[in-house]
Amino acid sequence: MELSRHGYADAPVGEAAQDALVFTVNGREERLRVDPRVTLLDALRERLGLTGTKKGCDRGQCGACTVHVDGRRVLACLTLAVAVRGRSVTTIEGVCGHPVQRAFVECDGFQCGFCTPGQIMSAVAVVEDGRARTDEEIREAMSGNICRCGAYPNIVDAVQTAMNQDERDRSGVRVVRDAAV
Amino acid sequence: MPELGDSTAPPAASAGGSGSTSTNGPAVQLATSAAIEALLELATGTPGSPFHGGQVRFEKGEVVADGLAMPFGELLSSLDLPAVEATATSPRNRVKDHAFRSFGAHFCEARVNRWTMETRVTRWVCVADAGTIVNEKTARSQVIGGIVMGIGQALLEDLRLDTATGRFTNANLGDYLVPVNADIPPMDIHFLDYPDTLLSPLGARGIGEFGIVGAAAAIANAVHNATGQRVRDLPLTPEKLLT
Repeated sequence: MELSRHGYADAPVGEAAQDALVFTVNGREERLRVDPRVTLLDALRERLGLTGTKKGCDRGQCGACTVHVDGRRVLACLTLAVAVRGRSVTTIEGVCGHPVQRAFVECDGFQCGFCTPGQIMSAVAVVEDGRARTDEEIREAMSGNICRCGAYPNIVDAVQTAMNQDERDRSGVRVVRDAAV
Repeated sequence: MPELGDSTAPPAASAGGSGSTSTNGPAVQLATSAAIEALLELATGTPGSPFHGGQVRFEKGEVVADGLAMPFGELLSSLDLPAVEATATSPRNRVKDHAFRSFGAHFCEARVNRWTMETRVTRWVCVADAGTIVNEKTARSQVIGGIVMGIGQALLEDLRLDTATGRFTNANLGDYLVPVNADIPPMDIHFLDYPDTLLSPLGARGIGEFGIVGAAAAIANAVHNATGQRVRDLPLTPEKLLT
């Protein structure tokens, strides 16, 4: 099967398609034989049993499948598994105990929890990127992750909490960050 | 293999109709009191108990008498008991001359772009009287969630039906729009936290369905205040305001 004409830069071509796909997930090397059409989302959930990443829409509209590939956020439902050959994938299982995860608990940044793995993966990237500082910028940066339960204000609080651990007003008075309020 | 319906939680009034806390809460309260009573009876009535024959009370997790305070776990261990249990039933509310509803007010600030007629909600305040608030953190989140849904109802959500086939034409999240993070303003939520003891000793009413009620109306009123236009067809899309 000739895959190169579909434009997958990293996909195996011809005989190489028989080789196992080798990539790193949460620091651990994995080898899988996959049909080239398998999405990274299905590979993670069905083949590797990493069901923390959720399938919300399977068409790139909700963000529930957000993971990191080489540190950048991607939608796993729109990423082919073969496209991450040789790359490093991080899922929600790989950020256990992260300050962002703790901030989500502290700020009640979730209700049903279905969007939460995607929200946390996005939030980790936003915090580590560091360019979004105001509530407005954080809202914009997090708008790729839909939450039907409406936890957005608390999600913004969680991101701010994780970013400003040292800067938080320790007197307990909530720091008013939005100029509009 | 996931098992549906497998839970260690006991049967309870369902989480629906804004009735879970207001129904299960009083029963939990009564059962807790009964368990404490049973514990104190064990304390005073068991030979060998450090409180045997005395007068005791229960304070902050401890059984207390003159000069002696013991955490209840320690007391149970000393009596060689793994636990103390009790059952109680909360009575059906038989008040006939009062209705029990949660009340509140939504205050919404919205801005409408004078050329495109795009509406953005910029601030929100909600004050609610729902009786006793058992958990302030989750109660606030629940009301926020309802308001977010109300913003969606008012400005974004529009289910379109193809009348020839009876099918929905926009059944995906790209075409049926729900609010995203950037659509939601800072929210200020307050509860009066005034126990409604006519309903139950716990005094909690319902907030499960509370947040969305009146939210779209507040937005429509804000849009009217901004534009002078009264639109009664949701969502309030720019097309409906561009005359």
